[in-house]
Amino acid sequence: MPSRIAQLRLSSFRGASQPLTVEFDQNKTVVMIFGENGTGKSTLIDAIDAVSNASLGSIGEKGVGAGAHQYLKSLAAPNQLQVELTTKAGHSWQATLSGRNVRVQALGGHAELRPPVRVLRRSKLLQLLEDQPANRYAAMKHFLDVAAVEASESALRASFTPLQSTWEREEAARSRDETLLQDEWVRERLPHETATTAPEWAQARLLEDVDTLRQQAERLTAIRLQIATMEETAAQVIELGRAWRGARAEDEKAQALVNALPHMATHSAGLIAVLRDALHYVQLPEVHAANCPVCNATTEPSDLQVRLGERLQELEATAKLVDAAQMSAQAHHAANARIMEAGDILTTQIAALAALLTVETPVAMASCATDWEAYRAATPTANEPHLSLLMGCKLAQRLQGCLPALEAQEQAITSRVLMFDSLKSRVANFEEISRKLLETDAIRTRLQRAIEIVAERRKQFIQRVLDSITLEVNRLYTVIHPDENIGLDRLEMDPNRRASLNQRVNFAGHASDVPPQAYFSESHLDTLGFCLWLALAKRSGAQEAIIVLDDVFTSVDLEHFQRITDLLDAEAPNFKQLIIATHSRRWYDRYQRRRDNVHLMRLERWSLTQGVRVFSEKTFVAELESALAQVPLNRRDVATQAGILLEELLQFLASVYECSLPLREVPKFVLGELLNGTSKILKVAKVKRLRPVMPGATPLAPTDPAAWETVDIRPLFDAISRQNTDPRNAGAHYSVSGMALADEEMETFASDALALARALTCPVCHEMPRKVINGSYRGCSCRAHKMELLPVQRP
Amino acid sequence: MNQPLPPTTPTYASPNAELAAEIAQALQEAGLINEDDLSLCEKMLNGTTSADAQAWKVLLETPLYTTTSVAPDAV
Repeated sequence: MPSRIAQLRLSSFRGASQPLTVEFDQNKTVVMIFGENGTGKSTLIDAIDAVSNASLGSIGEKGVGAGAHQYLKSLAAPNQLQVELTTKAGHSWQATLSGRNVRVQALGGHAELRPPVRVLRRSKLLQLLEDQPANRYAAMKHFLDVAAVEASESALRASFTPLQSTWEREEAARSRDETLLQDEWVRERLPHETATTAPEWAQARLLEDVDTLRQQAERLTAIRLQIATMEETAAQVIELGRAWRGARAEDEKAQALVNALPHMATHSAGLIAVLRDALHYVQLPEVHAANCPVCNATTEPSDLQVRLGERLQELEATAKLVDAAQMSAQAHHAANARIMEAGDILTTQIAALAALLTVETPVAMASCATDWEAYRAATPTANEPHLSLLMGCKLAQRLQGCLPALEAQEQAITSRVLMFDSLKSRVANFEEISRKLLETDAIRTRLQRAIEIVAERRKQFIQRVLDSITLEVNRLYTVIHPDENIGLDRLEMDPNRRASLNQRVNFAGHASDVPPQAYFSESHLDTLGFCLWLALAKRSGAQEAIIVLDDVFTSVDLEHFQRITDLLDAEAPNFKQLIIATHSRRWYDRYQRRRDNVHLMRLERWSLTQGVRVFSEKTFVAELESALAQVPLNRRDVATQAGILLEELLQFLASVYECSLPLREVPKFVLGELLNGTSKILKVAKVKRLRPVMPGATPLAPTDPAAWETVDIRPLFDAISRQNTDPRNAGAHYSVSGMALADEEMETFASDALALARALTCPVCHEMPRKVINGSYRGCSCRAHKMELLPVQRP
Repeated sequence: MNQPLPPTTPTYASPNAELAAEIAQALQEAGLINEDDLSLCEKMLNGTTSADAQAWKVLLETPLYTTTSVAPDAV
């Protein structure tokens, strides 16, 4: 846990041309470093800044360029610069120069973090107000930086974007399918169909018995093919019939010619056959018969061949007729065989067709019923042995005429089947894509909603932080400028730019987008800049921050100065330490008088040979104690210190209890007036305080009434009031009455003033109690609860 | 100047952490994530757990437990 700065050691650092050690009072929250211009205040502040923030400090802000680092070292210093900072907890860090940068390292090997120190210099007072929005954002980034959440937001968008594209594609496909289905419905719906939407219609269509349709179509195809085949066969049969009839006529004609030969001639047919066989026999190469093969008479083979040839020559005309008749008979027989064979095929085909028609006879074939009957009734006769075939051919020819109608019927059924298939496929696609769409849409919608929530919450969060900063700025600003109705109206992120922070101001009740510089006076700007800085420092510190003000307020009027210092007193408990460097004597006097929880340091005139010189300044009580302790007594110092101390005490009481004092243009009161004005309260005032614990004794619990003692203020007041003249006059060379006072009287007066001051101040924080606690007493602000001042109100 | 001080302003040492917790709660209240995933979601938002596009998709795809169902961890 960070702790207060306890010690600062400087060597060859800026104005510290001589080694310098500055001790900070660890019991005081506020440290005031007072010094006139050129005494080294900024050297001390820069030293703190160097160790705490590795900063070049004020020298880095004075436009000396990239070589600013070289001016950190003291003029003509032989050694390297070095700054060492030690905290109350005993941890130390050292800053040195490394190249152009300040390098800080922990001393003693500890791993503690450096105390969080925020330094405000006058030159930076308006920076937050005047900066570009991006720089303003950078200054507040610490409170607004939600980079991890923003990264998640980007990741969510990266997840959402392709899903959105997929969803759009799927939706387009679904819409396209829906349109196609709609068109199909409009185009194909039948008058008797009662569906009112395309999907309803499609679903009804898909209930149709498509298998039966397919069987019908297949059957019609088979019938058509069978008829076509039959027609071809019938054509062949008819052709073969013609050939058969021709062969029969030729056969009959040849037989008639043979039959017309004389009887002898008719016998010659047998003879010709015998002769031909015999000639054929004797002509065989292996036959060398010396005898006739028919009558076995001895003969010359060559003579036999000659004689057989001569006999056949004689019978040639008859032989030709006989040969022709045999050939005609064979042709007739062959033609008959071919027609019978084709007839069998046709008969089989007709039987096959009849089998196909047993399931169902197509309407288109109804007109062929009589042809079927004729075919079945045909009985062959001797004259018309192929009558049945003839009727079959006629049937085939009639059926041929049905083919277009059959084809149309088949086409109609096939179309319905195809449409069913197409519809089924389309509906399946439509359902599939609709299902996918639903799935995609579900996660898409969730991602979209998540993005909306993340973005909305992020904006709200940032605005909430900014609003709370604005609220705090205005609360602080109102303390300095009560009832003026001006301040910060709104801080908000620029919606059109990344990491850019806009500000709106309120001027006399008018919120405006214009920069505050447009309306605010310079001092109003200074205080607004200060309040903004203080609010941010307060927010970032969580009571652990040390804030350092380097000569921030130089030209504010008395009224606003008092409000600013009051504000800082009130805000000091929110910080670990408040270090104020100033050349304002007014501010310095205020703390010297009030002695509240403040460590006063005073810087004396700087010189190269002596460097920065720091002295812890005493409060009025301490100064009076020192003056009284001097031997010999310096009556002028004692008189002056005692008078100032009394005036401060009484003026404070008069303001707290609202006592009556003379009204003057410039409120300045003499001691007698202050005593008169506060007499009513001081005569009745009592202080309850915890009894001092004796060495070795056990302290009583504060809840035990015996632990407390009550001190009446009246005797202390009476002792001071008994003085017959203003002892303070002893400090004035022109005062005759003062000269009349003895040193002893002077010492008594000073001791009485000191006693009153000790009685009325907290032994811990040395602050006079002024806060009304629980409505029952007034207490100081250190919360040690060592004393209670009564009464709460003036009698 | 004795006006009362406002309550101590909390420190936003990690605005991410505070906002992450707030958003995770909002996502759960919106019915986008299960109560069991609240901690994971917060870590993803806070950057202490990997949270790329796929991780977010997986988290938000997780079906929500209905009032009558049982969380997987309890099964």
